[in-house]
Amino acid sequence: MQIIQSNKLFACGSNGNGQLGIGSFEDTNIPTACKFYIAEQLELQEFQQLQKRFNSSLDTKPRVITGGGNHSAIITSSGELWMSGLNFDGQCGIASEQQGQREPKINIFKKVEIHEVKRWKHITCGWNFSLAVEEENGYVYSFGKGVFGELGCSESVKETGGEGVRIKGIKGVEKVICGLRHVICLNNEGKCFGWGSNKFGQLTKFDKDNNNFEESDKNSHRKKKGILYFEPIEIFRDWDLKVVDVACGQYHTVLMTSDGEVFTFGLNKYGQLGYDFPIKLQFSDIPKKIEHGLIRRAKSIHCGWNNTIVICEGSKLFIWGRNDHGQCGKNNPKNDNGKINMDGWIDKPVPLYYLPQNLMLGEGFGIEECVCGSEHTLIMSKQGECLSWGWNEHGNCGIGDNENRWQPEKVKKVGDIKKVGGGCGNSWIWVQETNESRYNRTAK
Amino acid sequence: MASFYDEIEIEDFEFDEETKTYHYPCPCGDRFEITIADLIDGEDIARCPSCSLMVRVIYDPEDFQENDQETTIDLGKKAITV
Repeated sequence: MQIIQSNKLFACGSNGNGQLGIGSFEDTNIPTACKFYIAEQLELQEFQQLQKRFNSSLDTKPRVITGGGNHSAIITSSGELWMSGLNFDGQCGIASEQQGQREPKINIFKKVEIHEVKRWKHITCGWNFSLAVEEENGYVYSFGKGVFGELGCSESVKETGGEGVRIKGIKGVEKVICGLRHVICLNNEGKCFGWGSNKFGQLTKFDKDNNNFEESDKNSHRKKKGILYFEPIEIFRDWDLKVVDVACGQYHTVLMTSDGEVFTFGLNKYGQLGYDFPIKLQFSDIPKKIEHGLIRRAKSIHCGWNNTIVICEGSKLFIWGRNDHGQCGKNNPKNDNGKINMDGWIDKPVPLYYLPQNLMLGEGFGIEECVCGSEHTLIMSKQGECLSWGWNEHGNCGIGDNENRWQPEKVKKVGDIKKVGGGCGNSWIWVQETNESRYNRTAK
Repeated sequence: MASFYDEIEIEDFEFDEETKTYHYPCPCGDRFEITIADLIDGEDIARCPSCSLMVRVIYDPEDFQENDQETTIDLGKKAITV
């Protein structure tokens, strides 16, 4: 087997199915170089040629780096899609050389090849599935398994096998984002489509849902079951919103409009909607604007499984939601006696902030990029520094140990970090130049 | 202090027919697991084999025993065909 070890892409965290792509199935708490499968057996000259081509494709900042439940994906600047990790349900889109058999898991990145697709522009990795957007027509391809409708193909398609399946009825898609069981995509006309589970209103409200609620027995727990959507439906049509970006948590959704306003809806069990406490508001299927004096002209929005982050002009970061493992990047107050704190802090059902918290990152920290994993966050500065905080049981914060972080702390520096990615208990970083190569260059 | 990562309704779990186990996603990528036998015994904690987190399963014991009988019958049928 001929493999290339990258000197640009590094990963750390949970790795039970090889999702880090570092050539092992062991967790690591130090950013470790990712590996890429090139070929089984090529002549040296041919291999070297491919190696050169591959290295140069990773020299430019990748379009996307992201992780799902047990798999991960990278789209290079030239639009190649590479995936690693669990492929049991075909979520890595890797069909094997032998027909009909696919590798159940791979611990190095392999290139995804779909006959009619030349280049990929975006991808989101879910629990057991992936949804990738091809560049030419903006078609979305599903890979893997999704019993809650996540594949968006039809009720009869709950598994795609090794080959991807193109979702019918949508094109011109710019971006696709998923939560645990719901998916939303944005197209080039500013329209949004959603599919998957709407149990907590994470796809907003539909007439169909109403009927379902009325028909069901009010005393039964089944009334909350909600509806699964197996095919794309246009969403946000009833609200006059010009949506420019969407972020999905486990069961909640955040959207940003062209005016930089932020709206949230879906589950509020951990205060992730950012305006009311969970005992009063368990979930909402109506997008509601975050009315906070300091949240104006939002630049970007991000979601962990149970947290929300809004970054505003001037690199101001606001965060709220669950905080039992440091997910909000700040400590919990002491001696609460179960009362709601002025800050919007409450300790039931777990410690959480249900109102936006302004998290200070230090003087002059200009935010370039932010990504959330399931229960941790990475934030990168324009200067190539990276901070992380939150749940760190698998070493996913990349600091060198497995202790949770309640405050932002520097990720072990392997070079000038210029792009970051997050998954379920894991992180990826892309560096423009490693410490080592800079040292070698300056030494010359 | 016993603290749970979450409390999840049984209907949100996925069921593996082969291992007779209910499972639900853990933020580490592995899955919280609880077997039918555990649920019948009144156990309500599903654990993740790869990390320290666990969830409490919300279910109606009565509902469950009904399901269990069906499962036992299914098993019996399978045994005969084998």
